[in-house]
Amino acid sequence: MNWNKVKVIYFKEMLDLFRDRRTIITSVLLPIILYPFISMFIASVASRQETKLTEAVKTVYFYDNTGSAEADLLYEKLSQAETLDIKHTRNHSWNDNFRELVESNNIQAFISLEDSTAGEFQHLLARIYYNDTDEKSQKAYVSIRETINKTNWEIVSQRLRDINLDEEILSAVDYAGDSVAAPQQILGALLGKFLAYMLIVLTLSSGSVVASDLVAGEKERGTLETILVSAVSRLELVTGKFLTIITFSFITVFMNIFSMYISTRHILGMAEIDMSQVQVPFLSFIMIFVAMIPLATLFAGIQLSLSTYSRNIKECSSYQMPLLIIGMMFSMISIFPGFELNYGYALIPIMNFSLLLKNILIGEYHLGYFITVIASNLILALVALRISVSLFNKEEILFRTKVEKSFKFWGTKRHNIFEPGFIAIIFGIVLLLFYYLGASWQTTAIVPGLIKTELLIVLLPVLLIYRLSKNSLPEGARLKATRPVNYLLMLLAVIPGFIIAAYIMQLTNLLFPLPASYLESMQKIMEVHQLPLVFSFLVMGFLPGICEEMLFRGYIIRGFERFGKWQAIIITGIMFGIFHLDFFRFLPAAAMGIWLGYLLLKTGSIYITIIAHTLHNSFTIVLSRWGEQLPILSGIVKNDNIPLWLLLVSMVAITFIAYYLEKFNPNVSPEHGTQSFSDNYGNSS
Amino acid sequence: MIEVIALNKSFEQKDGEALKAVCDLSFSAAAGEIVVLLGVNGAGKTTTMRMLSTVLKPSSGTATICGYELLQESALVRASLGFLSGDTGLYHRLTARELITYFGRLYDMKDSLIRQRITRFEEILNMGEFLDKRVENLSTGMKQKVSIARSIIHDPPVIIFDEATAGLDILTAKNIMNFIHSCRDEGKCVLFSTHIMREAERIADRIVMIHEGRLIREATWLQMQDETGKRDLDDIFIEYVNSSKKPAEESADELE
Repeated sequence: MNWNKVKVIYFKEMLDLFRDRRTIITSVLLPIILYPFISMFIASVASRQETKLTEAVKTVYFYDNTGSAEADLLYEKLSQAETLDIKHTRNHSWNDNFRELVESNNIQAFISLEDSTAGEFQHLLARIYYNDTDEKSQKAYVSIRETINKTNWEIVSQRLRDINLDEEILSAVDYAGDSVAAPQQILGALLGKFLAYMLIVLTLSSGSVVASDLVAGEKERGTLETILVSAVSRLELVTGKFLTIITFSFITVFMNIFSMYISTRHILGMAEIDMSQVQVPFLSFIMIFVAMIPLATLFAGIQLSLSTYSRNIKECSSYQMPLLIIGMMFSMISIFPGFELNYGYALIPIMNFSLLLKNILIGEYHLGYFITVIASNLILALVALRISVSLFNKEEILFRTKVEKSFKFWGTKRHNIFEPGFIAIIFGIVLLLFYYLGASWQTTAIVPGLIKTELLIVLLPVLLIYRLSKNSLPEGARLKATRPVNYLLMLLAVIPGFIIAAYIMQLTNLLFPLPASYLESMQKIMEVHQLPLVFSFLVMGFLPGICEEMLFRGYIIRGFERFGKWQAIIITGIMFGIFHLDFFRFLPAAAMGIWLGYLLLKTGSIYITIIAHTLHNSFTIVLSRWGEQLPILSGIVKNDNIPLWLLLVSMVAITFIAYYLEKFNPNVSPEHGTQSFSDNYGNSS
Repeated sequence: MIEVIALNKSFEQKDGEALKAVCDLSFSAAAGEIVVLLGVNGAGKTTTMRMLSTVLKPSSGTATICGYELLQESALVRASLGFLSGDTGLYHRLTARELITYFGRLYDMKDSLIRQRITRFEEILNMGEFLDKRVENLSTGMKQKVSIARSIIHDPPVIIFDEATAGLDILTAKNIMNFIHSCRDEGKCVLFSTHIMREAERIADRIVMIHEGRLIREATWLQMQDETGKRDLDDIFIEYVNSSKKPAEESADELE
């Protein structure tokens, strides 16, 4: 590669970009103007509102039917409060419609005094009705509470003096809290929450504008061919463009952060908070900058690939959208409590940067994590760069100009329901329904929710697709028996399989410790086990066994068999893992899915996998009920600790079972079976 | 200068079948000669040109340009040819001078040499008044001149024009034609593709007729007129297309 040419390309692209008025306005001028403007507006309005609210007079009705001296004293004290306008009422009817008056903000609070004397001394209870959604009412509530506390103290002191005791007797132990966090850490913890999010979103959004212009834009304007026939290699071209995207992202990020920093100082200055103590150390800035380089490189690589693949800028921006959404979601991890950087998270892009940033900002420098984050992002960045170069070398992608056919399934022509694209869409829809409908059903009532989810969201689509496309369900879903020995082998594999899945779960837990909130929610699901035994086996074991198998092994796997047996097994397994919509259960579920896929294609019968799936789930129930009484397995239940020898034994067992499966089913070649199915079946539809 | 040897190119289509865009195409072009690649739309002209300019890789066969082989010495091939097509895009936000300089630098030319070349273009292409204007503000004719300058900044011995006059008005097209003649007079090898018969007749020293990716005749106009006994160019072309089909596939599909 000739770096001189890369330099020529880089400077030309930068010049070209900076002559684009839109780019300059959105990424340079806007932050300079926007943030100070917004911050000044917010600061002045907020402070003015605050004073106005505190000083405003709040109308409060006071209802007393005790007629006691204490009540009179309280009324007197309340009347003395400057911002309260107390109206005494003895009218009973007030008691009926006070709620409406407070709700409609006609009055700010209503105090109803009751006599709640239980012993020798008079005791009053003041019920304060106020509106928590109205700030004026909230302020009234605070003032009333303070006045009542003061009055209470006054009356109690008087009573003590009456019996010749000093009020000091009431105070024995006191406390004074003092946070040891350095000012830098407080600011860091605060910044760490949203800075990563801001940096990632800004990098992605500014990079996407430039990236789509650089390749898809050149395709659109017809300049790409011109540059390709000149004496420049594609690698030089990609590198030049790549550097342009990174530079531009950094400029945008810098402009935004700088402007935000000045504006924040301005707000804090107006709020009279002294920030001179809380400077972020220079080292932190350097570390953040260094950590950003591989991440920005990774983003640039992905965006350049998308841009190369796209035919025009419009198509490119629609591809950039999911990337932005993923970036947003992953970067938000630092906002949630309980997530701490470790070597597991350090391997996951975006998340690792987000958590690392949080650490750096509170002054926790861990070299091991820092290097791991940088290295893992750098490796991925190189992969992304490699992909964009190889896309650039693919002429069918570089000259992809024909309009692709729009997606229509229920058109006049009948389509193959086993198209991977179609299956991906169905899977997406099931996931969305599962997430939006299923989750809400299950929070309302877990058992009916589970039943509804499995039947309507998981099983029904499969039945409908087979029915509407007039494909034969028994043949497509392999609803056929297999030789008895397979059932036996499958049965033998249940417990070893369970142990391996549990071990993978344990490993995941080691790398990505489960947050406490997650364990709590899992506990809730376990409450299903309090149901009658037969019922819980049905709901947690058999139902998912049949419904999920029909979806994954009865339908989805079909679409991927054209890529080969193992490809189909692994893709379906991964989809099965994703289906659980749970980051921590992804790996064990995917492993389980792969085993079930293997069983299916080896035996050619879905009954095998339905039973295996049912038994696997049922075994969870058995463990949670009686696990502590079982000899070896009690360890798994009690402290989630599976001995290594048990894992090894299970793995050996599974290997043997797989060996016998291969031995007893030499003729059922899944690829052969599939081929004939796809040929006679899929294409005929 | 250009030596095309049994060039093939097929594209994979959506249904998985291969579309043969160029089939066993062989021809040559010498220095100081204008060779026209003539064929209807979709005959494989652009695909051939793109292969010769190394943008597309041939499925099989090869070609040499100035003795450099397409696949093995693609960088040298690109350095020794200038490529100009009708829908050539230019970078709108650069000035004409910046744009020409940019391409010159990509050919590893020294800035002093680039300046020298631009001064020459100023004279022969009459570009003086708009050299420092941004491309977006130029007229079509001016843009075409910038494109010409861009494609020959490195003074290549071989120049390829792919439908270079398509969509241009008479006056702008005339610029190109003049330029092509001046190239030949300087001893360059010119390969020019078009589907317009009259254009071919006007400038061609030799014509390479292709149809559905195959060579159907390579000769001068005069030879073609003698051979077919027809005077009208369109008739000659149709005659060759028909006669090329007959032996192969017994009038399976007639030309519309």
